[in-house]
Amino acid sequence: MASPKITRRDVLAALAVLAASGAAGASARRLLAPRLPGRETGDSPEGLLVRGQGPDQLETPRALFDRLETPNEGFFVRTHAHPPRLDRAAFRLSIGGLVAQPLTLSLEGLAARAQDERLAVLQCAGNGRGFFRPRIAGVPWEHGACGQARWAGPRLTELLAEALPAPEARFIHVHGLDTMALPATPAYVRSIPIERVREDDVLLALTMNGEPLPWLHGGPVRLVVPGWTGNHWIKWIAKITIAAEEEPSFYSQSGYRMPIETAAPGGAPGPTAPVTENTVKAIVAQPSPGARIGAGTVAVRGVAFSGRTHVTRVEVGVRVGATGTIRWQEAELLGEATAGAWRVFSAQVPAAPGPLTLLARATDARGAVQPIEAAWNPGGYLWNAIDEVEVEVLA
Amino acid sequence: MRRRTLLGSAMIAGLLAGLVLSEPAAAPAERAAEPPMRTRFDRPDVPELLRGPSPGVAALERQCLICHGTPIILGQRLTEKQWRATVHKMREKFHAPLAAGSDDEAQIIALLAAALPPELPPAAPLSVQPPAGPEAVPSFAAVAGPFVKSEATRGATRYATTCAPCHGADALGGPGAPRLVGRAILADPIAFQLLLAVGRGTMPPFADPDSRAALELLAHLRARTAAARRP
Repeated sequence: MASPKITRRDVLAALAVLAASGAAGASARRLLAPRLPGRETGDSPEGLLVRGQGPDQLETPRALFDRLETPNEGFFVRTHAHPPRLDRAAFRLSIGGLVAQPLTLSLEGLAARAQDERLAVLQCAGNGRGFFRPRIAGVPWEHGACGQARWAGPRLTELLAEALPAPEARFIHVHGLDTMALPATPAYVRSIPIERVREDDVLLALTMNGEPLPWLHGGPVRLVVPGWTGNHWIKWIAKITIAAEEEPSFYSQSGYRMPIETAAPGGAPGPTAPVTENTVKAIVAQPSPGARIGAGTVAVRGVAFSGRTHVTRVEVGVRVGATGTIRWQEAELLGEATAGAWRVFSAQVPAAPGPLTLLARATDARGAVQPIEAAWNPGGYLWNAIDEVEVEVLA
Repeated sequence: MRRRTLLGSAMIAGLLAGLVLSEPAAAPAERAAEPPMRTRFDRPDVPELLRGPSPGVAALERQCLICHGTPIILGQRLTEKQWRATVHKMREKFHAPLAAGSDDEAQIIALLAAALPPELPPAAPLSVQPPAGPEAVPSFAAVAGPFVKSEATRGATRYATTCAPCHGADALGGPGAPRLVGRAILADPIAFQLLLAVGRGTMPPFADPDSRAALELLAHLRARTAAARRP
């Protein structure tokens, strides 16, 4: 029998020694080992950055934003609840509510439909929240709550047409199977206007970059809504309900909404609207912040995207002189002009010895240009200020 | 309740120690050089106010870690007013079982406002390698801890009758109850035992949380986690 004199601290000490031994230590070392594919330079942290765990919030390091397809292993993760275990054989997706012909589909049934494939950016609405001042509560993402993948699966509009929605149908309510730790916590359910999902780019994705959709990313089925923020890309979907009204729960009524008019920090927020479309943005992948590089020219590379349009121009800039004037030059764009997809940009910039500040500014096909400062909002959504990277040029 | 918990914890520690000593093959003899962890926030990059045992940290562990892991809390830099609003939101919007005006609420707000203010520079986040493949277990960030095979085997029997109906036969989640494999709480026997003692949500309290059966369940879940991590 244990002695009553043993304190919690003693117990914790005993347990910690045990926990530090054996399997736990080995797992930690293996899990923390940097091992992302396709990385050529060794000057930046690799592996995903842990912003949260259980539910997991994992950020892609910016060095991976140098290519059209973000590898699945390096793709960011944003989860509201705990991913469910799904039996692929028993899995069924139901489409019901205000429809004349409710549907129930197995994975085989979904895979047997006509498949469409889209290259599209997935970005969390809160990407960049960590840069807002005054600071805002929430996951303090920097640049890496976004990624681009090839997503493939049936078009939702074709399945909706089969279900024959009633004329009064205005929204779809998309239900994931993930569970909250407390049963009383509202489930993550989003409403999407039905006219958006009647467009042919909205997919029920079964694959990601040619692989079966990883469980961590919503497998077996997640919604793909190109150009719209990640809160619409519901993971582990099992039920879609067609309705006349917006879903009444927290995540539709309070979460993921922004003031319609920009309000000052601390001011009374006015009427709000759901966050929907991404805004124009460029992210520098190389060089890494703090890199020490040789004099001559420096290769600046990264990605640029916008909402339901494409980027037409990226300028790369350097700050020069005591006044900090920015000298801009055109970057070359790689990748096709596809709405909702990012393009890679690349430029060779002259680099004289000393500290060097590099900037990247994107413009989209609608003429929207990135601002110097992103508009502050209470949820910390859609940060898109011009990216700046400071490096040291060696003599 | 508190005395019972301490006694139970000491028993668990004693059992664990005894088991590891008697069956060394299950947990390779590899000891850490670092000092023992005092709380779940006890890491070198964490402000001292949060690292050591205190009523505030105990309240934080009791109330906030039901749903959150530590990194999401440690990543915030907020004013007292913002911390207050955040804690209130957890109760009002997410139905956290934290009573308005309770000691725990006051302790949590005061501690977080003092330890994680806007002026505190951000800490560099940890970096992890995620699992590959469609069936990979998501919560790789958790480190489950060692287990003893014979305990895990007995735990499997108890698990099948008591836990599997809701959490699934493979502990990867079931109808209405979350996955248990890979969960951070498996690293913390005291928290695990506390959860069994009080229950959670619709889960009833475990009849004998201080018993060997609780330890066997923990061993079973650690074994499942280790198996899921194997490449």
